[in-house]
Amino acid sequence: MSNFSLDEHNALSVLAVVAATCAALIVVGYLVKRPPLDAVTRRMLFVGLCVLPITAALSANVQGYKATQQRSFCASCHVMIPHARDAEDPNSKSLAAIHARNAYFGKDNCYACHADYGLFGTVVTKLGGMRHVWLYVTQYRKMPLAEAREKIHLVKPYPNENCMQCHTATAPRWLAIKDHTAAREDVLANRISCASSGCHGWAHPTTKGPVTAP
Amino acid sequence: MKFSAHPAPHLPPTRRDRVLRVACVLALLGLALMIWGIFVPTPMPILIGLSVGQAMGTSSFVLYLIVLATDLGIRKKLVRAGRTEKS
Ligand code: HEC
Ligand code: HEC
Repeated sequence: MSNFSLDEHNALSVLAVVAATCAALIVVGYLVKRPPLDAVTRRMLFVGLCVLPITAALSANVQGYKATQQRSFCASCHVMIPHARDAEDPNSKSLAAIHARNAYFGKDNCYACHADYGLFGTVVTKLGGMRHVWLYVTQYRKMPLAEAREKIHLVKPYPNENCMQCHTATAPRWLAIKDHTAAREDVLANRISCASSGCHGWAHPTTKGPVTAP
Repeated sequence: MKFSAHPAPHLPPTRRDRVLRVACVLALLGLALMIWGIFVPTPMPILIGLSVGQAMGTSSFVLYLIVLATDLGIRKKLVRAGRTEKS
């Protein structure tokens, strides 16, 4: 609640809150006064129990859906704080941090790199997210960061396709780089990860190598 | 307005009123849960708002529609009965 500010990005939140408040006023009014169910009451209740709640629900849903893609949402589970902190560090040179500085998808950068792309990608990603919530509640909620760092891994190796949603691997200046052309087959077949120490480095160097001070 | 000239048939505070009150309480709880995730955008509030909150809101809506439908059904019967008496 502390970082809640009004702007065009949360117009939907405002709509949801206003609709819900008006609905609540009507409903509480009915509960308190208990007027006979005449045509006027019926209409008021139709607005208070149907029109406004549906408006509130739809806008809250869209807003909730958008919120789940933000880095702040990812970082609300403490085991993701090191990743997020590094991404927000203006001096960090990690891939995650470089991509967090982009105005277009910067605050959604975790999602931009970790979403499954393709048909049904969104659904698969959201289901995967549910799995993460479940694992967090059942296993990681109380885990110290030092232990989480050792235990948390991606379920499957990071697919280069995700990078290639934005970096096509066909641009002339990309192809002009000798390492790219030499490794292209292996990159396309996911035998070499773009984010590996021989190439562009880890996306999250904070969780790799020997433990360093935070 | 056509109906308000004929106030609703005065049924005792029956099941209809109780169902409506339940619908109102469900709506209030559902709305609160749906809005929670907006102020606290973390996994649990959003998840609960999208599931339990939605379910409560929807049941409240359905209960209201049931009351409305039953009520209008009764009214139609009364109107029909009134007509047959006059003729
Ligand atoms: C540039 C793309 C990119 C961005 C942005 C990104 N990741 Fe990653 N992430 C990766 C890659 C690639 C890996 C595989 C391991 C690596 O490179 O560090 C990974 C691995 C992970 C892992 C597995 C454990 C680990 O540390 O290796 C977690 C958890 C994770 N990312 C969370 C996040 C969170 C949270 C954010 C947002 C703060 C984020 N990622 C942003 C690309 C990205
Ligand atoms: C959502 C789109 C998107 C995704 C996904 C993405 N990138 Fe990027 N990447 C960008 C943009 C945009 C820039 C340019 C950032 C800037 O100019 O500040 C960039 C910059 C880079 C750079 C240049 C950094 C530098 O120091 O000049 C590298 C290397 C890179 N990305 C690698 C990757 C890798 C590896 C992945 C997959 C793990 C990846 N990117 C995923 C959009 C993306």
